[in-house]
Amino acid sequence: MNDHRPPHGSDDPEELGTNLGDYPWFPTPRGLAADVLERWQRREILASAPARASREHTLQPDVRASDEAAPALSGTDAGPFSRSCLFAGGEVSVEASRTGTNAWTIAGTVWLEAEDAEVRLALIAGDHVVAATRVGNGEVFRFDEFLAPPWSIELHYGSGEALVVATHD
Amino acid sequence: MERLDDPIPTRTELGSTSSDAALLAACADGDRNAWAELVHRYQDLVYSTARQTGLAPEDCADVFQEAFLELLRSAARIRQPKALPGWLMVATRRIAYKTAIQRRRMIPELSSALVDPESLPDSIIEAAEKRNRVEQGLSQLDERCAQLLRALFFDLRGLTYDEIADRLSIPRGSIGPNRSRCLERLKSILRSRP
Repeated sequence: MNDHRPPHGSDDPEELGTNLGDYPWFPTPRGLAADVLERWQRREILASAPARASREHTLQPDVRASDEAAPALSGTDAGPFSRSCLFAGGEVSVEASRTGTNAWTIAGTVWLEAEDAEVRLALIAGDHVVAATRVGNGEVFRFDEFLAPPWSIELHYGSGEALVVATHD
Repeated sequence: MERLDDPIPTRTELGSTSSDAALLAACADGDRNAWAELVHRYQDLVYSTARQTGLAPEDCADVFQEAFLELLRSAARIRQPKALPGWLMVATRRIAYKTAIQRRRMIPELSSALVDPESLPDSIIEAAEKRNRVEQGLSQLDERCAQLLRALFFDLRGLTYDEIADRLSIPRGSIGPNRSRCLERLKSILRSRP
């Protein structure tokens, strides 16, 4: 037993030293973290961040049209599926298609009653907001992402309301 | 009142003893300093995870940016703040895969399994988390102590005392006492961390 070994188990650098192959380490190049922090300064990330919305406030949409007979919002097959639904202040349509293994293109259009209004659409996987974008009346959105199901598309509008527009299990 | 054109906060101004849960909550409320601390705390973990996918450093720099932007977008949703290292690794691997495919990088070992959180074993997350904690501790030591401990414990070549003395330009006889002193400092730092 080495007397110099710190006696606190999992943080023991000697213990880690014997397992370096488990996780090779690459120090971050100088300036990279500063670049990320500067993006906050330039407001870029503030503009893309979705509103804080909790699951408790997530509503089920009023399904207005669908290309499938069943009104269910979930897609589980490999084929494309589309959804269109109403919400307070507008309507949204979404079409999702698989473009490869765990590869998806999810696109749609938003129509808003107020010309100057804006909503946010977010692609959610678990507790990851994989992508998010703001759109105005008549504008289209598109996400090209690689992710394993389940995922969902959420629409954030008004003062913190959110609804699940489409899901894939 | 924080202004957008305030200087970027330095590490010493940040709450480096705050828990990840406290930092995520503050981050979700728009606290720039909390986000900066999370970036400082996990930068090497994210960059290392990106590099391990086989991407070139210039691509990893972009993955790094995207991973931390995803953290910012998701801060209010993260259900298990204690599992933040694993969360970041999942995000980084998915973004790295996307980057490799979209830029048509030829990486033989690249697998679409990178986008599946289930493909990341707990043992790997634990190893990365431990390494990150120790690296964070080392970064708070003085340079000579950090160099000595890295040479003793983190050099894959398994350097001898003679080689370490030569490399660091220190007497061989000082390695033992300094090793003890530096380990005590590191131990103290690690114990004080959240």
